[in-house]
Amino acid sequence: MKASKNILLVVFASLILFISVAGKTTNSSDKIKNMKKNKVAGTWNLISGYLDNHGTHIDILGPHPAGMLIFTEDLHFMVVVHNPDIPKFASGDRANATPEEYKTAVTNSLGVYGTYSVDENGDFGEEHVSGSTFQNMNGHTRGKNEIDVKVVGSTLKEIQKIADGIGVHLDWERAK
Amino acid sequence: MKKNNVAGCWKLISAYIDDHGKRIDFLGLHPKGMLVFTDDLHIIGIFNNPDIPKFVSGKLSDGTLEEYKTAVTNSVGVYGTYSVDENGDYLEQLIEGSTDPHLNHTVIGRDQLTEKVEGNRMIETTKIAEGVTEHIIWERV
Repeated sequence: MKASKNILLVVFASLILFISVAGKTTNSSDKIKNMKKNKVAGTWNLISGYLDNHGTHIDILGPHPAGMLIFTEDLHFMVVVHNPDIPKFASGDRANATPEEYKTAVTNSLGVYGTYSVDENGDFGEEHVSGSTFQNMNGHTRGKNEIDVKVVGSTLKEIQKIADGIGVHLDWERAK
Repeated sequence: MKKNNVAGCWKLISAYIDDHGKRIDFLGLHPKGMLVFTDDLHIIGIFNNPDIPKFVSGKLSDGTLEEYKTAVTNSVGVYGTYSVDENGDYLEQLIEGSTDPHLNHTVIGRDQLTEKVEGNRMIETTKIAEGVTEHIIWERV
């Protein structure tokens, strides 16, 4: 448990390192055209989340990862992922938690929102983070070099590249 | 599709707690956030204080105790499902998951939280205690 927790910390830390500022812009008419065949738009439930470290799977959000991802038609996105098995704060008050509880909460969840674009095929292009529960992510842009998103039927497969041979795999299922 | 006044993407423009007439800017002076009510009755919302300092280390794994506490008490993300009444007004939400473990699997109805849509604005009021309410104003994106 402690080992996987540490890996999770490393993963999140690495994710931040790999956020880059891509400067590509898309003009309005392209955006409207691409929007028409947007493959990622919709509501998605997290069904699997793990780190693949050269073939070894590590449950970075615990054995029952949960979350929701929404790509709106008007090109906004929001995502919340978390480990639903972490204990609640003993005090019942998030203003009065223990240092360990605060650390556990931060390192076992993440919320991000912003805008995104799709390419001419309607596939994910890039996302700009307007805000996050982890403040270091605010203002960053992540493109296809950092996140690979593929929609196959009712499943959206997302791979966040960390390093050579290391990536976070998040599998989403279209909400019914 | 059933009438729905809250569906859409909303941007946070104001957030504060009214504690017996005293205003508390619980997300700082420039609160930010986004809220989406989908047509298929899912909800996701995040708000944050954008003015808190970044982790000095740059790494989530290497925060100080103060940084972790500040992160938790200056942001929250929730998701789940919601329903509207026959007039299309907000009825209740079931929070399936959250960055705050205390909110998981809670139901928040109109006795605790109201969403009043006026033009392109939505005024959210949450009762915290007698005389204490949280006010969030959202603007349709």
